[in-house]
Amino acid sequence: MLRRIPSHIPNYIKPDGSITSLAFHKKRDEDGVSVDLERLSNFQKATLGDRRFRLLRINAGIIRNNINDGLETVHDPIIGNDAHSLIIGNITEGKKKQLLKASEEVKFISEINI
Amino acid sequence: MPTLTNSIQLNISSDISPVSSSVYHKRIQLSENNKSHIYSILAYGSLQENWDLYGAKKPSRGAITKAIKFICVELSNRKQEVFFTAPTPDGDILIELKNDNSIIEFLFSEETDDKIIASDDNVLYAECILNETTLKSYINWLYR
Repeated sequence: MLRRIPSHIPNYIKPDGSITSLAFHKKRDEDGVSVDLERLSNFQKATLGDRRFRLLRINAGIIRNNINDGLETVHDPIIGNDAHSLIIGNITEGKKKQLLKASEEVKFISEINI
Repeated sequence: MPTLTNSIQLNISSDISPVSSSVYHKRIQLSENNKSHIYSILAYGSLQENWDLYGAKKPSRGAITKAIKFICVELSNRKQEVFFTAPTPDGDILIELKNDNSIIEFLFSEETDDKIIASDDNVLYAECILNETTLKSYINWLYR
């Protein structure tokens, strides 16, 4: 699963290089935290080609099996994004931090070989 | 943007937010670090809806005003230095204090109670509604 995070204004990356757990914040009126299914997406698609965003990767199996406690991932394709998925369940402050801890940043690797 | 000097007379209603009807007049000693975070929070007010491309709300004026007043009054009076600030996708404002691997997060909202959250190395320790008592006890916990 891929989740983009802002890295300009605002910047979800802290001065010490760590990332705020707001990266996995579920809005009050939302059903879940939006992510992209990685096999149907890539860095460019998931960041919408916008260099102001960076990308986190989290394994769906870790969400289901390790973090668990009612959290689940569901494929939820929307117009313009077949990869769209949701992390659903009661995403508490503690769960946000667990999700962050279980995630890793995806580094952009240029497809152009110089 | 208002000019903040080392010793300032801050008028929240006219200098920072036109929302608040209360006028706060007090000489406040702000560190350069805390001033810089106030500027960042003011800048969040210029964000548009959907700034995270996931449908984030524009940061609310109420949350921005509360967050800035909190830095000016509660944190600066306690000589606390802000480590990090950010808007949430709900339009709230986050302020963070840090000591080693321990963190206290303050969440200011126009719609809900303000919250205080303590964590160690990204593991939640405790959370509750922000008030004078919880503020004191959580800051004590941060420097335990």
